[in-house]
Amino acid sequence: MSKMTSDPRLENYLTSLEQALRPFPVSDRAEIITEIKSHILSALERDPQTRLDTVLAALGEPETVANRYLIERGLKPIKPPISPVVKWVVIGFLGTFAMILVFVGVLITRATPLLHVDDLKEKVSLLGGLIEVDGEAGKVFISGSLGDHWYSTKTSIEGSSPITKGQNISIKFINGKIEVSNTNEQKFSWNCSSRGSTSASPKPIADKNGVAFDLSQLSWVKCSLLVPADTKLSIDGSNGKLEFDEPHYHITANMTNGKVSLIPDDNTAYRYTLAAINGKMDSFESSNKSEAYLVAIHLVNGKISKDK
Amino acid sequence: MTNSTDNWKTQIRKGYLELCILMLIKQQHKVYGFDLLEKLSNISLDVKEGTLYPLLNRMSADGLLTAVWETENLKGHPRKFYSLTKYGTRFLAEMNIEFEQMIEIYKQLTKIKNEKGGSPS
Repeated sequence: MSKMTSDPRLENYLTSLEQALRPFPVSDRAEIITEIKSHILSALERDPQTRLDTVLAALGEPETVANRYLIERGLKPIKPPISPVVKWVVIGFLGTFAMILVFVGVLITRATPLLHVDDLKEKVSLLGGLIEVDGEAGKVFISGSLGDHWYSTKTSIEGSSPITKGQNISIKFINGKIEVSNTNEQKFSWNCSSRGSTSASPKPIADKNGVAFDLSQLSWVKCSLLVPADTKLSIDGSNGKLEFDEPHYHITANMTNGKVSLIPDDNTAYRYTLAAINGKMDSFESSNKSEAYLVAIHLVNGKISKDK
Repeated sequence: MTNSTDNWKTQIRKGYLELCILMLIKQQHKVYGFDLLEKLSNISLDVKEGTLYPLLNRMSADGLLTAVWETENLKGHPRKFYSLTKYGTRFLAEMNIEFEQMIEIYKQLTKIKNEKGGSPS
C-alpha cells in the first residue's frame, strides 16, 4: 500500500484535484482528497489486476471532478475543464510554433550580421556572408546550394598605344575619376575600370596626330593614365575628378562639375591659363619661360586645387 | 439521442438517484463510497464515481448524512462511512411518500392510455 501511495501519478492527480478545489476551505479540501484517495485504494485493493491509470480515468479529469463538487455545493466552477482534444491541439500548435522559432533562430544566427559594410575595402556582406559585394573588385559573390558564384559587375580596360613627343592624347569621360602620371616610356598607357557592365568596350583611335580615347560610354569610370613627356594631353569631362601629378606634358582640360587637382613639379615651369567659373581656385605661379608647359584648365562648378 | 432527452434524463435521474442512495444507506445503516458504488451497480444503477462523491459531499453538507472515518482492519486504509442523520431519515420518509404518489399518478396515466387503446384483458 505504501508503494501505491507514493506513485507519482496518484500524487499528481491528487495535487491537481486539490488545486482545482481551491474555493473550498482547507478542511473540506483535505476531507475530499482523503476520500478520493481512499476510493482509489479500495478500487486497487478489490481487483489487483486493475491498473492505476484505469481507476484514475474512471474518476475523470481532476478539474472535472472538482467542478462537480463545486456545482453540487452551489459554488462557481473554476474554469471549464480543458478537453484532451483541445489540450493536444494547443500542444501541437505550441510545438509547431517552437519549431518555427528554432528555425528562425538558426537562420538569424547563421545569417548574422544581416548587413556588414566595410567602407575601407568597399565590401558589403549580406546575411552573414551569403551574399558578398566586393566594390573594389567589382564582383558579387552568392553562396548557394548549387555552389558558389561570383558575378562580375565591373568592366576593366587596360592597354597602351605608342606615342611620340608633340603628339596629342585626347580623352573624353562622363562621371568618373582620371589620374594622370608621368612615364618614361614612349607610349600612352591606360588602366581603367568601370562599375556596371557595359556592352560597349571603348577602344582608342590612333592617327598621325596622336590618340583619341572616348570613355564617356562607361559609367563611373576610374582610370590611371601614364603620359610620356612633352606630349599634349587634352581632356573633356564632366562630373568627377581630374588629377595631374607633376605633369611633364601640356594640358588642355575642360571640365564641368568636379575637382581638378594639379600638383606642379617644383622644378618645372608652367604657363597657366586657368578659369574656374562658379568655383574656387588655388593660386598658381605662371612662368614666361619658353620651355614651360602650357596648362589650360577651364572648369565650371568646382575647384582647381594644388593638392589631392 | 437529442440534447433535450439527455437533459430530461439527467434532471429526472438526479432526484431519483438521491432517493436511491439514501434508501441504500438506510438499509446498510453505514456504508463507504466504494461499497455504495458496487451496490448501486448490482441493482443496475450505474453511477460514476465522479458523480457519487460530490453528491455524498453535498448531502452531508445539507445535514442528511453524517460520516465517520474508520479502518476496517489493521492493514487496511481508512474509509469514510456514511449513515443517515435523524433529519436525513425524516427527509427520506417524505421523499418516499412523494415518490409513491408520483408512481401512482404515473400508473393511472398508463392505465388510461391502455384502456383507450382497447387492449384485450
